[in-house]
Amino acid sequence: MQRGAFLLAFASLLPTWAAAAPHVTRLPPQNAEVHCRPGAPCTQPTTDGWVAPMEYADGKKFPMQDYVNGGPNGELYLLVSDNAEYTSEECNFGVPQAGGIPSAQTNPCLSQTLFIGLRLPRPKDANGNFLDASGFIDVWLDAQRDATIDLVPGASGPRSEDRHLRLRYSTGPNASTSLTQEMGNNANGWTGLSAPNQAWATTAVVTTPGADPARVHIEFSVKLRSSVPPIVGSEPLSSAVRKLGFALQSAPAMTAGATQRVGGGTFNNAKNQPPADTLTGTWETLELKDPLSIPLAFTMWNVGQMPDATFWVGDGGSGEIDTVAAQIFRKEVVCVSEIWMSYERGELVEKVNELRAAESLPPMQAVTELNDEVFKLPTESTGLVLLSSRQILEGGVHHFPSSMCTGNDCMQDKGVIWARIATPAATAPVLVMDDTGMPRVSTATDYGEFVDVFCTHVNAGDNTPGSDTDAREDQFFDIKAYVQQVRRGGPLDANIFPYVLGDNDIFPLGTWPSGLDRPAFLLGDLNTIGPKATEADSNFPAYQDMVGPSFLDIQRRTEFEKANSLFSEARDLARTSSGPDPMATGTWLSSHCTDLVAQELGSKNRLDYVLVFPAEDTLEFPAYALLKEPTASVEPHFDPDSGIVIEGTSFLFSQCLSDHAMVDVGVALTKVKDFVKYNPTKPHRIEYAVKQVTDLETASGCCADWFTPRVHMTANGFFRENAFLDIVEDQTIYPNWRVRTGPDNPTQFPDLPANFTGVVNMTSAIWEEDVGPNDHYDSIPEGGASLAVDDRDGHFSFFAASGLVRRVKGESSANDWLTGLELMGSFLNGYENGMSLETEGTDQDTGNNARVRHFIQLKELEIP
Amino acid sequence: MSAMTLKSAVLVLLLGGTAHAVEPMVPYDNFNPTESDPPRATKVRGIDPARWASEQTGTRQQELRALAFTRLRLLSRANSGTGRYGLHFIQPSAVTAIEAKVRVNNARSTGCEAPGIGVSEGAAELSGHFFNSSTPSRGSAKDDITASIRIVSRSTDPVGSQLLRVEALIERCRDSTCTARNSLFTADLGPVHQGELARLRVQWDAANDRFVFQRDSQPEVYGAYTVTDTRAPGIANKELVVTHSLPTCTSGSPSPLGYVNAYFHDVWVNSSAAPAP
Repeated sequence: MQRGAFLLAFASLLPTWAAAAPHVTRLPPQNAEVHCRPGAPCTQPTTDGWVAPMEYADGKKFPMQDYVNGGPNGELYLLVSDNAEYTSEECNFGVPQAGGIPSAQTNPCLSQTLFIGLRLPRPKDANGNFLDASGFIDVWLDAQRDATIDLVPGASGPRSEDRHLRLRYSTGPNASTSLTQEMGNNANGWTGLSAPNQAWATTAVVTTPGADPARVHIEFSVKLRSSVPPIVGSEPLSSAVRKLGFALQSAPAMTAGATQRVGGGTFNNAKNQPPADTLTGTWETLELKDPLSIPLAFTMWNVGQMPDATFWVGDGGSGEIDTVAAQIFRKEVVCVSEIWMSYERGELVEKVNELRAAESLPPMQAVTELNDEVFKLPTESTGLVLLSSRQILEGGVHHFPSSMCTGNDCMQDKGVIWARIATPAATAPVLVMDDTGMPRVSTATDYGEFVDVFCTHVNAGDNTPGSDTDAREDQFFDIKAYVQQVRRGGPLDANIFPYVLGDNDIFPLGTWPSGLDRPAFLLGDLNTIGPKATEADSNFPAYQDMVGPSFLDIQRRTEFEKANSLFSEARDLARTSSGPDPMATGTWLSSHCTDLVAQELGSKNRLDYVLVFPAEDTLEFPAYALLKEPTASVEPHFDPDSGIVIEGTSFLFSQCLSDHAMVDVGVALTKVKDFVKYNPTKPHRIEYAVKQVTDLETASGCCADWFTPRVHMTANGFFRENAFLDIVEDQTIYPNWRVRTGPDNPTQFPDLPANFTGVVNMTSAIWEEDVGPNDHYDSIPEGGASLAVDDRDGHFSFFAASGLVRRVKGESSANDWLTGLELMGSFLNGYENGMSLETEGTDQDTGNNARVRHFIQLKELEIP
Repeated sequence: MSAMTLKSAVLVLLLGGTAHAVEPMVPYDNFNPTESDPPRATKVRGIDPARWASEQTGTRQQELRALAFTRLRLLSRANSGTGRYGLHFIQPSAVTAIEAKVRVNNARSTGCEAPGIGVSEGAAELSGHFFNSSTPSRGSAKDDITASIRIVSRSTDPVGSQLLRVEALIERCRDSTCTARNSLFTADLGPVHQGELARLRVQWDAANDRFVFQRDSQPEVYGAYTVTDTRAPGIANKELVVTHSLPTCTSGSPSPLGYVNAYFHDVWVNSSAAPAP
């Protein structure tokens, strides 16, 4: 289910019947007129009983979780085709578009059809051998959804236009399937069809493929009937409605010899809200419309703020920290390069947030290198700042190995900055049913709603083959390795070829959720001249090498992209301007740059990029895809206070703030795979971590020296307390100080067993090393200046019986762990990659206040 | 300390012996509240009122005096008169030497359109009233002797030039506000680019009747004086400031401009002026 749609469904209905509103899933149809054409054919499922995920690439994937029996999860794929008819050459034509798709395909493809693919786990005996599966699949179809949503009398139960399909299946030597169809009786029940032409034409096939022995494959195609007599009132694909009420339930039968009944689950996937046979309001609303968009904007700008070095180097323009800040403070995610001095990077963050505060905007968060080391050379840094108006969930700094440079670049310590940015969907409020059944708004950030953004600046110099291009290509290879290591979830503290730990790298400890299931973005001054608009790549060999398989390796189409026809495959997002001149994307201006340059971008070289690393190339769905098509603009900026007289003229021109133009890109993501939710019938690993600490003690200055003597968890009668005493210096750190259940602890601290119903308690203490006594920072709004741990540290409890997570009063008494201060959320709503919450201290006496991001993740474990 | 009878005589020593009777230098403020040097007993938010007070004369169109991460930032934009804007030491009488890192990121001085009317000037300075050469009156700067080391921009600089000058000055105040001054000594310590960091020091070497000026690791420059230096100044003031001095243009001329955007950090003083922890 789309989180945004869920919210939309609730938003207009609060508060009285919020809990009763149907859930919504946006399922954009495959439209033959729009998405498919000869030469670029679409892919559609062939209802043959082999559920190849790539056949459903124009649809969506959902987990099937069995909240009754537990066991491994199944998978559900849905795809809808629109009204337009297909020609034989525009869909399922020729060689299959992607891996896993059989060569025998339905052709021409089917319009007005709902395709349902299920891959359900098969039961096993005590020796681990797979057994034959059997059971029922119920499918409910509400053909006049608006009537249900609008509470039209009678529409809360099945009506004559609605259908109920039941597939009874068994596999093995005596395999059998039977499919029945009923229609609503307009009296809260179902009745048999009185004539064959009242049926919604349906095909269902069940197989146990040898290539996938662990699962049974079940595939349906259902013709979405429009209102043609004798069927009346059916309107799922009518232009004014484009909605279908839909529910599905898999009910496995008990298999002789099986150790566990497996393969159950429902759509909508909600433990406490399974679909009811005759209550149409409990079914999901499939909105057959454009995908829900998660917009994000990226900005790349080399601002040319050169170092205070032993010899003077002129800035790349007349820009200063405040004129740079004024240009970027309203942006969303910004990669700024060439601010070589630590104090100027710190000032930029301060100035940006001053400007934001004046407009009542929340502060930007940043990843950069700040230090107060007097003897550290200013150039011993990447010179980069990555700013985000969205939360930064994780962050790190990587330096290229020192051998990868030429000339003056060897006086610098260039590299890559990483920020895991929470998308707008991460902080959209979600309604949670609390212990009393009342809906509450959660306060947690969804840690699964993110994109990884990388910001870099590579070796300068020539573009003709030689030592400069060699060094740069080494750096591209290093970027690729770093990006891969980050996206797979770390760790970053060891050399794991091809990833090489750099000198003075900064990174979170341990591991974090993988981001390989979605696009990532590389923003940077890549010092490589690239093509603009339709210019041929072959005219830019250094660029071709950069994006090619030896280095960044971003050009290949993934299997999902080959099969999908809805989403963008763009990689180089600022190659073509969305403005009137597509070629106006040159970014390298000149050292004597004036406002005359604004009309000359088409003739300038392009060095600054926003590139896309696609989701990992597998035969599975990514979690997110990029919507068509990103927008781009390239703009120089000028300083009215700083003039320049061009030789031979007497005019005073405004100088450029920088000798690079600013690159702005707008993208939109959409979710194509739904998340796993908390299933109490399965064992879990629980983790608590401190993800981010920011010093609020002083208005300016650098830098706090952080450590923690205590990251604590109590679970199921055991406890574990970790200390992280190595000082981490910066105004904001991303430490990942953590504790978790599981076998890798030095003392016994077991994972949560299946059907665990207890409470897990978690807390941490934030300390700063000081010249005098060390300071225990206040990180919660309660307690003021009191030094008691209950008044300074965040405390959290996970209530396994309900799935709820609360920030709680403290630990002075056992009851304090149960006394809620704030409802973070419920794992029953998802949060597959964890949830986080920022807390902030309010000690007015000492001012020792920190803002801390706490992270809690519940990870489902399979029973061996 | 000595008394000199010969007035108005100036001896310039560009190179010379280092007759150091001066105190050693110690940190006064690095403008980094988080990791203060020297350390403070308690951390402060912003500019430390135990070490600094505001300094402000004249009028400006725009001004900024704030901590900028780990530096002090002073900005002044004026279009008339003279003025000084910044911070003065809270215990100025103890301060006989000031050293700081100074970076003028932007400076622009525009004079009158009609030629010959005057020169606009803007500067970032380490400056002080060190003694009075006559009979001081409380609250009056008349006959106070000031010494400054500064980075200066002038309207006579080439249009669009990125070059400023580092200068050393010794002056005598001619009025109670020290608006009018007589120059006793000037030395040009060379060019500096906008955006280029310079470590500047001005130090009163009373035992040798001179001021010591130094830019970065260049040789010290000595500005000797021959005035009486035994009396305290009428206005005991030592300061980090940005200044402007603008001519009055004739009617019809565009307003002159004195704009300075400067950063100061790592301020050191003579050891006896060290701040209390």
